[in-house]
Amino acid sequence: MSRLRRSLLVPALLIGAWTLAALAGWPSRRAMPTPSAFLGAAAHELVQARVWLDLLATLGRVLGALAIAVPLGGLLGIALGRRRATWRAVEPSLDFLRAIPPILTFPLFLLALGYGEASRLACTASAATGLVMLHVGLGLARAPKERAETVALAGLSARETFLVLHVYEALPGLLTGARVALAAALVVSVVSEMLVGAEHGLGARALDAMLAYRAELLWLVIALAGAIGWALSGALAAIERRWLDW
Amino acid sequence: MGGNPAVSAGGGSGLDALGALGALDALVELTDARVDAQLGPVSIRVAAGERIALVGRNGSGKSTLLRLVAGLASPSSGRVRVRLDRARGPLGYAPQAFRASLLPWLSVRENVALPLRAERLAPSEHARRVDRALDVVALDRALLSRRPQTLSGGEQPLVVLARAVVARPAVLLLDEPCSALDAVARGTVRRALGAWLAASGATLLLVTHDLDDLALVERALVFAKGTSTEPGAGRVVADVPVAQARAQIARLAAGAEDAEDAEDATSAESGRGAEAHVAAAP
Repeated sequence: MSRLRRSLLVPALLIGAWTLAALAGWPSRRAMPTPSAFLGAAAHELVQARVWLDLLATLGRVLGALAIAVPLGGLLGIALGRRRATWRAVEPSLDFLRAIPPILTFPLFLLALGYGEASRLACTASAATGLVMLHVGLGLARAPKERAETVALAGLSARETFLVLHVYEALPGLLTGARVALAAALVVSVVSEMLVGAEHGLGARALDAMLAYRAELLWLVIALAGAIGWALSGALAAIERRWLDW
Repeated sequence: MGGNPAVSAGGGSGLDALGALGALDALVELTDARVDAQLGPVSIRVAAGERIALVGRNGSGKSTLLRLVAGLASPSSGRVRVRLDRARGPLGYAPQAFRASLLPWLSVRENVALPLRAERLAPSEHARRVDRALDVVALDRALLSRRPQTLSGGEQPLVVLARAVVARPAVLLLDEPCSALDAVARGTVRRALGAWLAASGATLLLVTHDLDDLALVERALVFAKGTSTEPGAGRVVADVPVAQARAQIARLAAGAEDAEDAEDATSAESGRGAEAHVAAAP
């Protein structure tokens, strides 16, 4: 079986199961449109500007959060992970912070920054920053100590050590962290769009679709959110495969 | 027993530090240096230009001693002093874990030249030093633009060895540098390294299990595993001229590997070794 056929197998099975479930009215005819109804609604919506504005709004929020999280989380991760003793000291605290659902902190940002885009971006970026920092710090703390020893014996300055060693040691964790942070940023962004009225965004559109009993639009929004995550994650994985072989 | 000028080893070895080598002459000096559960108290003085092998069973503390000298480990008690300055030159180190010490994001050339980054050399001098280091290990120039993880297991230690000598070190610490090489490459590297050591006058501390490597050194410290009071910690049981070290290693290889046997076997020889070293000491 060719690779293409193998990769299409699961989607084909899912669509088959979906068709059977929709025809059987399970779990509910209100929540489960038939594939043909979905495709009709999707064709109609995708030629309208509104759904693209929603997609771009959510994509912009996710990318904005990552634009803050990758450099900031990367630097924090290097600062904490470059010495194993420092990492061992902070790791229990980070494990506690990691266990907190990021969206739970959204009301705090609303209190601090008000009802608006700033709160949404700050909450999404903080969740993503923590995840990038965690992966970068862990990557550095677990890197072979012989590499750091080699650079130390070469007598390089702190600046050169950062550029020759730490940046490169951080890259695998940075990309893995960015992929995990991307998923978290998408969740926080969509939920925050649902919680506090956003004019545009997949979360806001999903809420509208639910209130209007438009299940086919709801499924389109879900598919578009999946497409954002799939495309960005795939791009990061491609970068990792192409340039990082350590 | 007594009469060893350069090395004393604690932990019941019975060797004394008489200090015939003046403290000011010692380039490397360990005084009752101990690393918990790895190395018993060891006192060593090594003069500039001396070439010494560290031999003995696995886990007897040889690599730990090199790491102490390199400053990569700290003694849990005692003192380690390495007198290096700009005029003398730096310290070169080829670790046993050679693969892990290479930076995979740099080319082979950049890995070899890493210790030169701190020196701010003119490009021509930089290239000359890298070429000289590559000559020592006879590394194929076609490999220079490749990344180290694409080299074979026999080529990687050559890169590490070239990196260790590129900055013209005053003290060279080699931890089983030829163990991954084939017999032909071992011979080539050994000859070139011997010539480089003779020309540079560098001090050598060489951990090895290979009898042929002893051609590079003048004397050997023989290590054994543990004592009755600290079973995990290795110790130095003898400081002998290289000819006696060969016999010692051969005996260990033949099966007399018990640490106490090794100590007994060398106790009579160490006195003669010390005399030979006194004669050779500067």
